[in-house]
Amino acid sequence: MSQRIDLGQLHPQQLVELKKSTEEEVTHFTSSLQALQTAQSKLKDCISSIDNMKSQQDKQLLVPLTSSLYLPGKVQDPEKFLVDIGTGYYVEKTSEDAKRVYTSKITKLNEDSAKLKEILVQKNEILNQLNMALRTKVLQMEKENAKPAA
Amino acid sequence: MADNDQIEKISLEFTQAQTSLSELIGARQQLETQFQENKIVLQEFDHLNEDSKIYKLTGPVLMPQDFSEAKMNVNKRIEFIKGEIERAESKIKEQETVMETARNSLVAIRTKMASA
Repeated sequence: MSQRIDLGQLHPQQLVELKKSTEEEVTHFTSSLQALQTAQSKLKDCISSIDNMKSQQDKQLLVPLTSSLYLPGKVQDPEKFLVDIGTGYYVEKTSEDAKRVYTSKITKLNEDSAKLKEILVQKNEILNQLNMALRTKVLQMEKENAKPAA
Repeated sequence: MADNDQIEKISLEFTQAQTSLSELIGARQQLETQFQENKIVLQEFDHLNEDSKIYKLTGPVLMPQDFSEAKMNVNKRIEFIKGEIERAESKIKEQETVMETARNSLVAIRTKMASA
């Protein structure tokens, strides 16, 4: 946080609005984090598939033509893989190179999710402070309202 | 009464400016995603050479493609996306000024009404 604002100085309505926008940010970041984790597990699946290929050599497998139609097939070369590198481009790679691509992607995603988690912790802290400030405001107002009645 | 009409008109303008601004920002974000994806592809191309076999997915078919051709295509696309991003940014700025003027005139009328 570059700016420090005394939350006690803010109007209750401003506090509520700030709380709302912070909550929105938190949900946004949480869903981003989830998306990163799904992407990661998909990449891990790719790596385990590559590893599986080696042990599956000379065995038959079923190749899907459509979701309900399969053809028996055999792996000709378990060392050649086509890797999707994005925007519709595929590159032929050896199993080692393909795994390297996926591992580097996973590390990148790990870094990103670590950053995201940090941000989330910060945002939650802010949310807590906002809640505290709001509570003190409410207590203050109750006291002031109680005075003239007494 | 005239003031009330005006307020209604300007607040309509203001909300319209707000919606189009959020639309523009959404478009800008989409461009950014495409830009990042293309950059990753280009990075991947840097690890490859002329001998690498590259395929482009066209519809359901993988078409073999030349390394230099593929690299050129991605470079061109990145240039194009950069241009689009610039265009989107200038549009966003425009819309922001529209929104700002609407907000200012709204505030001006409100203060005028309050003092009257």
